[in-house]
Amino acid sequence: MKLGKIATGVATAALLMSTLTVASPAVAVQNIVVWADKGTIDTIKTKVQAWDTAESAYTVSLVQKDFSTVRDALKVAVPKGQGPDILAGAAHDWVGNLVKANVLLPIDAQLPANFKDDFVNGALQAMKYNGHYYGVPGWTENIAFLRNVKKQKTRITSINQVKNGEIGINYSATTSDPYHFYPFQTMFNAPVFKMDSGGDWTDTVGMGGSAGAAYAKWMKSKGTAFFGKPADAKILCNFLNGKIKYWVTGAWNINAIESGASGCKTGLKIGTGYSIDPFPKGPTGITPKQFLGIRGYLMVASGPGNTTNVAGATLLMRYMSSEATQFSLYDNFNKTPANKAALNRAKDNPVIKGFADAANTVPMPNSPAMDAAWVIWGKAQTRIIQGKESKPDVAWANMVKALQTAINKLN
Amino acid sequence: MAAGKEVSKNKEKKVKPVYPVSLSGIIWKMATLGIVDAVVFFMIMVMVAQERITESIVAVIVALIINWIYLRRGGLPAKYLAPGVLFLIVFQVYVLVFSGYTAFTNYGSAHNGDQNLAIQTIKNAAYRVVDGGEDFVVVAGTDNKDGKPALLLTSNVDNKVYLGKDGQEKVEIPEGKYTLSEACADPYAEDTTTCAHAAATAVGFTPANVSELTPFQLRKYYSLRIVIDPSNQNLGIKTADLAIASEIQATLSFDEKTKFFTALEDDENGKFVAGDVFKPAENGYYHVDGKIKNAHLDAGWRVEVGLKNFETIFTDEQLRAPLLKVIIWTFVFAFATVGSTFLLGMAIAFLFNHEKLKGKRFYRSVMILPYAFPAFLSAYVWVGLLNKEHGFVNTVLLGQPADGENNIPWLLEEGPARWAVLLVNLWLGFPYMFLIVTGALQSIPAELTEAARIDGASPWQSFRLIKMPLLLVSIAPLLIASFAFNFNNFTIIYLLTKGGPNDSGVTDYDVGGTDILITFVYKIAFSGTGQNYGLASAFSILIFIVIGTLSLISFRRTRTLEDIN
Repeated sequence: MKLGKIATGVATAALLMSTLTVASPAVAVQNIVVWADKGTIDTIKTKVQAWDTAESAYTVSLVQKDFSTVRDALKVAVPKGQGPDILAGAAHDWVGNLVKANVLLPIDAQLPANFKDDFVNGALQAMKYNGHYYGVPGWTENIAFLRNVKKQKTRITSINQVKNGEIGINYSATTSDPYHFYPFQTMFNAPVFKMDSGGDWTDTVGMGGSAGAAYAKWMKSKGTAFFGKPADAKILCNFLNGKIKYWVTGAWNINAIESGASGCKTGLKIGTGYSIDPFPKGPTGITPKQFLGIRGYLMVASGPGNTTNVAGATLLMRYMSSEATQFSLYDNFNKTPANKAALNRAKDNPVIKGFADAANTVPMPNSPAMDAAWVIWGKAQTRIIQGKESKPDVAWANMVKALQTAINKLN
Repeated sequence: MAAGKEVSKNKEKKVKPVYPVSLSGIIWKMATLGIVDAVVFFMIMVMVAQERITESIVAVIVALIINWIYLRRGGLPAKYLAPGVLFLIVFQVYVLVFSGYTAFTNYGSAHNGDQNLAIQTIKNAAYRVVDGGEDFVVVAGTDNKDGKPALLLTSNVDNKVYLGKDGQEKVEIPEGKYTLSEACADPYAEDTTTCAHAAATAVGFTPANVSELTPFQLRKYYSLRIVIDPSNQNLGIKTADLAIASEIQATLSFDEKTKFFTALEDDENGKFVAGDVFKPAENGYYHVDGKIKNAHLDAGWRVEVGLKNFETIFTDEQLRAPLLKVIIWTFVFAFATVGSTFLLGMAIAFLFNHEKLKGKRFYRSVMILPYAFPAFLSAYVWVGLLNKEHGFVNTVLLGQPADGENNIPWLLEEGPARWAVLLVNLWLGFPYMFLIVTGALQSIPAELTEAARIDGASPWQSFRLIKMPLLLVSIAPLLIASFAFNFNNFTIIYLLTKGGPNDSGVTDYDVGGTDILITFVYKIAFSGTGQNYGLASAFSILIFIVIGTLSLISFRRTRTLEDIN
């Protein structure tokens, strides 16, 4: 009996004391919580720590999250008020999906009016969805047309100059890779979505009609003989050995090209061994476009009523988007700066210069519609290339229809 | 001792016995309870600080119940059962109830969180920065005249300095009445020699130390709106981070009482016009006049939608063909797996049960190995073995060339992938069947088979009429359990093929050739873009009903087997 009384006493005391903790004192140092995947953390850690040290009013906690599941984690955390202040290293095409899930905070009011001019064309635009900016760009990625200089001395200007078996492109047997094929698709003026008058992407599929049909027929006529077989693990070696002359790829393969791989140990040097070219023009002379991918820093809404960390988070975002920081990320980690001034300084590097000069890019759409498109789009594409569709134009038109249905269902 | 006396007293009264309590027992109990209470106490403090009152009340009640159970005398069964019941509630009952509830909501990525979160999201974005508007570098502080919060603004256009206060027009401060900051206006300017400087303080103005402001004070600054044009109250200068202020036009107004939004401007895409009132509709969006056919604002929230998810499952035409395919394959997969593993396991069990065979123990141990390795490890090894170009199966076992164009595309095309999944699952599953059949065989009395032999039964007859029925009595329930397990065998499918290959025609659901129901549900719930937890939960309920019914029927029927005994 006595013990019972003690227990009730303890519990009552616990209740009383817990009510006392409600009034929390003002904190002199605010902690900015940043979620990022491992690769991003490795890249930005030094700079973030430098900012932490320089700004006495703030500290930063970097929290590692899995790249493929961080979006789901965010959607669960924010409604509970447990989200971070910033999502770093986010792919810009996540923006629409995250805005729809109520987890991002617009930062338009915090951006200086001329801020847009600080970045390469379209980079800040890529962080915009439904008329609001939700983050700042960090670094960019795009693909180019790599050429083995020993096998092909001069730059080619038309895709018609490429013969069967000369090109390498990474794609999967089941879902293709519309990202790598996009330059070929735009050779037929078949953009994935239509754009509005202001140059913003809409949710209307734009790759149907006669342009899409022409592209589908062209893909079928070229087939695997031209594009190579899917999931080919030997593209790198074939490119180094000169078995293929061209490779459609991005900066992430440059290290492998320069240092070689197992089975083909001699790497190539830029200029004498390989060259980073713009894409050649299409069969009818249309200049193709590539997607510009942007990894950036997104401002996370911290749940109802909680706005205390916005000031610090904005300051950190401006620091990460500044010329000095972005140049440093290039200098140490070879990230192509989205900041124009930093990019110009980085252009001493022939690889950065090559990809920047080869870029005739449009920012990849950042809407949920884009997210929905990849699999449906790629499935049709890979079937046509592998000769599984006897009527490629019909298959393509069906795909466009199914995609539009799927997108309409999102809203 | 007191405890002893009480026991004898109880005996006299013929009530339930109370067991004597030892000192060390009490100490242990108090220590353990103390730790539990300390943890709960800490939890409650954290939750109260986050203003999560309901949760903390629940925690308090649970803690009180636990203390009561262990501190009172008697009630011994409760002391044994309490931890188990608690974990059952947390990990089973709560999960079941929650996913059951979710099946009747539209919870998903477009309906994430409650209405308050959606309102907050809409409010956060209910403005636009005026095109070509001026912006200012901000210093937060107070006006010395009345002590009210004020902003010291330096224009980015002409470097003029102003004092701005809530609800008033900004007032220019003449040159000489303010001092410029030593730092650049752009905090991270690269070129500090030519950069612009903003005002740091002015006469009659006291700058505040931003990092020492309380959340309450901060909110005062964030909600501050400086008037630009007295005839247009929706236009104003506003700061969101106390570093920069911009000219802002409000696009929506919110009525705290009715919780309605009103459009202040025409939509640029022409979906609605100024003056339209957005009211919450039953689908979890703000629609004009609350009617679903009208335009809606982007942020949605979770609402109950009744049987709509179940309706989708049965009526969505895009879903019908893939769903049918998945259901058929799920049954084929589960039956084929149980059948093949059972037959192989039984055959080997009989083989190694032969009394003349030497080294049985060794063989039996070897046979158990596939079962002993973690399944996910084996699955990954198999993915490598089944590789089309370089895999062991193709290049060594089947003698196909490395890199061969025409090698069997295990895992890459639907037909071979299905065979591959069954094959690997056979490899993983037969040792289990082998084990249980061996066990069951050894429990069949040798006299029975001997009697059968003496009566002139052939070995086949003795197997079919004597051993098999006796085996099935003990094994049939395990086969049913194995069926239920494989019906939901997420691991093997996901690790081997992720439900792919995904190369059949076009549908807007992501469905592959080896997807079973549970992997399909997983994709609906978690993969790609259109996460739809509501629909996925509805599916889980249906799967539960299917498995429950099948198991019930099967268990009923196994009773007839027991009659043999």
